[in-house]
Amino acid sequence: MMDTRDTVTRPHDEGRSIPGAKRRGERLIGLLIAGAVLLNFPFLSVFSVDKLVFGIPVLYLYLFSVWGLIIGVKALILRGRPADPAADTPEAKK
Amino acid sequence: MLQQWVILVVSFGYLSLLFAVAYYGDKRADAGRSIISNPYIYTFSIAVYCTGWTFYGSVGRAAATGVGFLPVYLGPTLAATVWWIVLRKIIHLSKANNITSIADFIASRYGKSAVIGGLVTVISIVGIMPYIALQLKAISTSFNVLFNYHPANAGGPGFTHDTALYIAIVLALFSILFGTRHVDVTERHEGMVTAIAFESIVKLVAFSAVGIFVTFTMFDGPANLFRYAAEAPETAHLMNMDSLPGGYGSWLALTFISMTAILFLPRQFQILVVENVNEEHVRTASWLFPLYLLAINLFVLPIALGGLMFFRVGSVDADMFVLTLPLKADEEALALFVFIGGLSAATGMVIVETIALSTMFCNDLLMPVLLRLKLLRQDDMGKLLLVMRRGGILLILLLGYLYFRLIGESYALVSIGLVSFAAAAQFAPAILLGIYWKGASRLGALAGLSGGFFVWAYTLLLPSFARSGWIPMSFVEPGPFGISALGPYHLFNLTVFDPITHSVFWSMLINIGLLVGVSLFSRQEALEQLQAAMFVDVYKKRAMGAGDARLWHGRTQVSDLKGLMARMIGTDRAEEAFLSYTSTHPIELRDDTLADESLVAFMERELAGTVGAASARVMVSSIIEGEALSIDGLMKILDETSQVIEYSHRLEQKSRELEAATGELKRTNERLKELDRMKDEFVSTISHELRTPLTSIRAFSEILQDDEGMEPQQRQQLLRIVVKETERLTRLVNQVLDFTKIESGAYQWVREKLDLASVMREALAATSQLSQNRSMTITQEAPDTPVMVFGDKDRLVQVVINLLSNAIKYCESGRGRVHLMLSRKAGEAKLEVIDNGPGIEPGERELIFERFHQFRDSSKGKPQGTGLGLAICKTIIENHRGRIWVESNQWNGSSFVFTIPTMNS
Repeated sequence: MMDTRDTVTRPHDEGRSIPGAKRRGERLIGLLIAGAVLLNFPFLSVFSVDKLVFGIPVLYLYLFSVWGLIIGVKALILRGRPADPAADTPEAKK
Repeated sequence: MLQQWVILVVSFGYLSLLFAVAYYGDKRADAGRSIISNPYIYTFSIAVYCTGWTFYGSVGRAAATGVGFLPVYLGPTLAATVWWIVLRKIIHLSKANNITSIADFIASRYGKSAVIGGLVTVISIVGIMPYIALQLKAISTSFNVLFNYHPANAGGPGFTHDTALYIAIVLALFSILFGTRHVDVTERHEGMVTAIAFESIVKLVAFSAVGIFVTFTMFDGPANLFRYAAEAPETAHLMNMDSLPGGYGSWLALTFISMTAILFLPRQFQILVVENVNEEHVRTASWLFPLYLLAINLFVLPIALGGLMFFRVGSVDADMFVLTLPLKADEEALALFVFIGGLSAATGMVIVETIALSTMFCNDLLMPVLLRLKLLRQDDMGKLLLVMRRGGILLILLLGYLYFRLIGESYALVSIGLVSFAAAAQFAPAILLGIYWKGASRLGALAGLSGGFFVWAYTLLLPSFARSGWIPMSFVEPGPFGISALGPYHLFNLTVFDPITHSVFWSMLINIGLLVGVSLFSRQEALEQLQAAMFVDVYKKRAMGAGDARLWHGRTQVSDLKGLMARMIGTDRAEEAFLSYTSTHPIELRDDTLADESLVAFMERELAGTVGAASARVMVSSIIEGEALSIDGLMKILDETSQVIEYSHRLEQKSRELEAATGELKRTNERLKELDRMKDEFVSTISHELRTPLTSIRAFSEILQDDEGMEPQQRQQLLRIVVKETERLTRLVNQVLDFTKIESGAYQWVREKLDLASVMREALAATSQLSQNRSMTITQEAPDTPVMVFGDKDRLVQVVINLLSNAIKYCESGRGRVHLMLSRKAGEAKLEVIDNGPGIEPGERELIFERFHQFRDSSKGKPQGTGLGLAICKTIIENHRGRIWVESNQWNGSSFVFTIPTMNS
């Protein structure tokens, strides 16, 4: 399992030297802006209604979904092999 | 089951377990097998963010405002997206400078200013006071709820009268034991971090347990719970944003201060930056920590709704729903577990916060004052440091307790905590601008921090005193001296915000405004400039070089330095520091040698780890003879350095440009040389070619002149030769003229649409005399339709004549055959001149198109052409975007072929 993933990510990672690191930073800032927009007025007012979806209040469901989405995208952007072998902890081998 | 002694025994049992965990962490660290050196422990330790506020207060907040508890967790989630950029830089800087607290960090950035460090410490201690009170309140209230539940405890001993005080004392002892057991206060607290991570797991499990119990056991799943809640009038309004006081503006403000709090609360800075083992751990924590927040908040709203539906409104404190709900269902074991979870949340916060604050209190407030007063002449500073830190912890908890007494029961948990968040937000401009903008100056930071702090205290802290009756309530409403424009909750009659948003708005406006404004209009001192450049450009290591080493220009002996270090951090560690320096620097340190600049700078950094950057600077300068450089001198060094750097940059660029120019020149020169050589060759060949016919003409003419008695027949023959040679001479001169004209680009091409077949016929007609003379057979072949090309007719005719006459010339008289074939294929017209002459060696086929390359026929010994004909043909054909070459054919002769693009007719 672990080998497959490694071969998949490695070529991607090698192409990501200095300019790649910069690109990752830009992606993170983009995510921050997107998250800040989604989690504020006026988006919230759209979902601020007295309705239940799957038995859960719409606003509550929306907030937690966006929350989860931000975490997921962040994990995707930050995945990859650590530069420092000493830090080669389980997260790189998942 | 829940008698008083049970609760006490379980609580102390749990605290002992914590000690065991911390002890294990310390042991592992001593053995060199650090347990906290992995991203998961790091993430769990960051979760010290979730305190009694989260554990008890969130439910209370949700019961009052619906989703209003969430911004405090969404803010950190958003902030964590840029941890990889911002936090990593802060960690990098802190490790490079041995920074031990947020006050140290800000002081370091702004020129190791003791005033800034002290100010940050004061803001922290005053600002965090409510936060600690919150924890005391959470623990004591939860204890009382649990205690009063058991009927046997009713009217029990006076212990419950002042639970908070006892708790404060116990927590102080606990923190002292945890954080200040050793003298070497600089090192990271691995045991503490382990215990904090452990506590984070306990509180998450406990909160989830009660959440699952309420949602699934008491209410048959979330769907049912929400359905009931949507129908009940007291909970229905919590499903949307309407119940949030302050509305979307408040939501935004809370998100913002939480984004700053996650990094700049002193305890978060301690855990995230100071206790960080490896920058790489930030990668995992960036997403795993928000996931933790999401998990611990999942059941907040269900518990709040459940509590509201279960109890009569107002009969039970909503902050305590997590405890009262299981108690109501007679689940005593669960309630006790929840109580332990809450204890985890609160103690974790208090331990880290007091350790962080006491470090700041000691290094950035007490030390500089004592140093200034010259009261520090003791030999064993280590012991004194320890005493100061322990005293700091006691003092901070005492302040928290006093605040708790003061505000009593008048605030809900979250409202207390938000006051502290707003205080921590004041650090954000100074730090964030400080690490990205070199222009942020010490005076600016001083003005911004004090301005922001003042506004915060006026709009949030003073009103809380007013509520307690310390100051008259009229101070808040309508405002001091009855002036409503000065009212702490509505400055300048700005009434659209709730108190927190109002305070955040004004304090941030003043803070950022003063920081930027004053920075733009003040001049930075040398040390400030140096530190600013180092903080902003930390990744450009080479640019910085030795950094602050240059700042020590005085003299001191190694023995003095050793003495200072030994007093501050103990003889053993001082020895170690010197050893580690000599192991990396090729230098022998005898006691009487003079310490060089880099050694002094190194020791200053070591010292900074114990007493903070500002104090370390003062101490080191106290033993330097002849004050460190004057400000003017420093400025000069700085200016010189930056000028030299600038100059060398420009030099480098110039030299690169020069190199490029040299290369260009070299290439041009080569080309010129080549052209020159070719010209020489051309001239000498031309002269040679001209001389040959001239020589024979002259020779024969002389014979004719001298020999008057020559036979008329012989005379005629000689004259014929002279005429022929003259013709050849003319031809040669014409060709040379043609060639140079075409080569130099001076020739005017007359291009038109023409039929290549007519070109062929014209050439045939022009050479018919020649072929008849040699009795050759000449045949031709062409397509029925015209082969239209766009070209210069005269020149193309010249090419065909040239090829044709060559073929005729080299063929044997009488037996010679030449065939001209014109064809058309794939947009190209192709003309072949096929002869049965001697043929051309494969090696010669390329060369014959070069100028003055003459085809030598060994049997005739003498070159027959001028050597320019084919070269001219090649130039003309290439000018028509065509190709010309020679190949062998079925008659063993040679075929000269050229192609040029046809026109679409």
